[in-house]
Amino acid sequence: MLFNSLHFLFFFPAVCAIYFALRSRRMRNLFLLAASYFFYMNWRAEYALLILWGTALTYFTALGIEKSQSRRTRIWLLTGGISGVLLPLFVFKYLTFAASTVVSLLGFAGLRVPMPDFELLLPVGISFFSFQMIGYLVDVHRGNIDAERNFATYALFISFFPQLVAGPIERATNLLPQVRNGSRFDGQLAFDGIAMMLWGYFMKLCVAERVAPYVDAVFNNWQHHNGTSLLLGAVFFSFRIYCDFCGYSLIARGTAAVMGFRLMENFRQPYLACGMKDFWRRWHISLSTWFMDYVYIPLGGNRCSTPRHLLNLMATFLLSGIWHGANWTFVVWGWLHGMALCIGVAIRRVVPMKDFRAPIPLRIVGIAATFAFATLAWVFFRADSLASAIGILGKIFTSPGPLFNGDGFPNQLLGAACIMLLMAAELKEHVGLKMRFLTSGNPVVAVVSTSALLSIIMLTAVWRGGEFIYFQF
Amino acid sequence: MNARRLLIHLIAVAALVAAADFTFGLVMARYVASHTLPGDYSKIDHMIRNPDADILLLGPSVCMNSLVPAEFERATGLKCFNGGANDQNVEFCECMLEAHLERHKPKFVVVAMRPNELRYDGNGRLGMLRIYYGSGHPAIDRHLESDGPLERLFLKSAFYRFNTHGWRMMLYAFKSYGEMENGGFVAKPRPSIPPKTQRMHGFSPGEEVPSPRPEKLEAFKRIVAMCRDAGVKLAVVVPPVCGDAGGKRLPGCVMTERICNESAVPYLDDSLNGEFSGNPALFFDNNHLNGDGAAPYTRLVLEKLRACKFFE
Repeated sequence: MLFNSLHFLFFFPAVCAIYFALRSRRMRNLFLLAASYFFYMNWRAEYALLILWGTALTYFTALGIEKSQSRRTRIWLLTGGISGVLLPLFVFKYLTFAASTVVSLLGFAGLRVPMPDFELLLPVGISFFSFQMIGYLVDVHRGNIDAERNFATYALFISFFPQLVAGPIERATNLLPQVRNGSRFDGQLAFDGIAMMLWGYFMKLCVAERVAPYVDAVFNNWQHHNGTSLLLGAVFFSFRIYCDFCGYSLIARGTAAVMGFRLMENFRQPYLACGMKDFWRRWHISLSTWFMDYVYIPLGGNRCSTPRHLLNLMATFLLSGIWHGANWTFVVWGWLHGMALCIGVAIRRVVPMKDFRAPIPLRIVGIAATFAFATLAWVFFRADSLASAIGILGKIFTSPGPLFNGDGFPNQLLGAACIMLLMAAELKEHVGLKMRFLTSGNPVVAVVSTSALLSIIMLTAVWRGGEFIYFQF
Repeated sequence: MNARRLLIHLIAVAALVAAADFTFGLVMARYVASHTLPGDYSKIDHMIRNPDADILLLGPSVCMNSLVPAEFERATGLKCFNGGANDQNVEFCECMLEAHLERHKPKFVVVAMRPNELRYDGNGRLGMLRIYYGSGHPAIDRHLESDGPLERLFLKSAFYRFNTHGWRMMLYAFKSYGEMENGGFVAKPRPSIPPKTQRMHGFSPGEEVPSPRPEKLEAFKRIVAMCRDAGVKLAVVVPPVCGDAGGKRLPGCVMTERICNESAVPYLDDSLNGEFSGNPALFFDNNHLNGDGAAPYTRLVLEKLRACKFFE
């Protein structure tokens, strides 16, 4: 079930009504668990078994880790648990990629081996719930949190429907206590949640889906388009992926908030970041902090020699790239971001900038440069192969020409207008203006601005759009 | 904020949006009824409000880009209008024909189809007709409502009906593509790289003839019935594609021909006419003739229609 489907329009209010009508916390959790599985099984019922398998495995492993006195046993249990979670992820997501890589390498060696056809459909959200499970195991192992005794509570923490298929990748330290203690209706939280959902729908339906046809038209047929059209396609893709994913995260957070749960923030005006380090503090925060806590810091983080620090950074970003998808394009995307951060580290080692506060013009240049780099890196993310990505970038820099009209210039202009509205709102947040509209304390301002946004959505949304991009990860 | 205040907030938002929607609906309905609509909407607007053609050409983009009204007018001396529109289907033809017949009866109707026209899923950009929903055009209302009860519910909202359209109309008022300049014909340019001839699956004797989608067949049958009842002559043409099926015909064309034969409708299949299909220089892409290809193709159609005594 998609957040932007009409089914969800009925599902969510019904779930809320029943959830708050139930008196006992236990019954509420059981109901929410059933609703979450129903939400997931709407897509493909049998793949719910994967969540169940991972949930049971990590539940018992965590109990075992907590109970065990031996450090060695605890490490074995942790390794076994993580391997058990990663196994389905590898089979469904990386097996074909690994096999094709092996076949290609054998081909280079002169051995012709037919490519096995596994025909596996990637379970929606597998990377997200797998990482949530791994995070929980590590947290229990580190003693950051007690292993959950109640299976239903833990199962709900893993499968909580707002964030099940595309995050935010929640930490047990944040969400598990909320699930355990049960949520209560909080009017202010629900009010904020509705505003978040509305803004999320605006981002998804009015921006991401509006620019998507142009992006698809130029990227799927890039050989026939000039550099100017491809550049616009790349810029549109930057906003498409941001609005698609941030829109999803906002709807997820808003949905959870209406039910009384607080999920972590996942995006914080990433395209107003000044520098790639700043960008990664603002983009997909739940994943970047996951990698920081469970990969980068265990590898040694920055408390080591400079070469080791750079190696840790690069390893983390290569892993982040491969997490996104089983394709060399994602590996290169991760490598590019890793390289950018490594260069930043190297520069800061030579020119210490601890207390340096850049003047505004320099910051604007920094923001523009960061956006430009992120956009060019997104080309690898969107292209279907490395050759295509290189071809597209080559054309962007060498083949200017008249702009491709796509599905009509009004659509492009409408997309651009919605992007401008979005960026104006982001800029307001970024500079810390106190003005509030949707969540204003003044009821008239709140009602008028909410009505205006709802009207804009109804007037400009693309209702028959596609899935959220990050579902495939 | 407590639950009561939240509820009041939501009710106030709903009331304000409903009021805005209602007002917007009134304003836009008045605008649509009193103004000549620009851009993509100009042809639809013309066919609904000021139809005057003796020969009406209908269909998707292959109609708009392949059939030149000036050629028809030169050959017959009758006024011709090309009502083809991008990404439209047979349902659109039905809606436009019905609207046209309400005000003006053409003598001849030529429907241009793609080879698989009656097998396409969905109804393309039929949503463009939402701005006419509930304004007395039964076919438009019926096709828009066919998407289900929720669509019927949404259609009550003016914001939804004018979703994107209000914006498009506003911008087209500043920049239009001249859809009405050549009797509705829009010539596709010659591309810098001509399309490559695509290999297509040809129909072999003994192979099962594919079935049309029921809703498409129904729409086509209603077109046939409307023309019969109004005494209008109807023909179906399939313009060329840049393809090759090894000397065979395309399965979709075999299917459409059978359906036309059952209804005694002349059917001209030029989808793989070697004169065009084997000449990529006449195409914009694999499915659309360019301006250089449209004129000779229109003359070929006229020749064939005369041969089957269509204009008599």
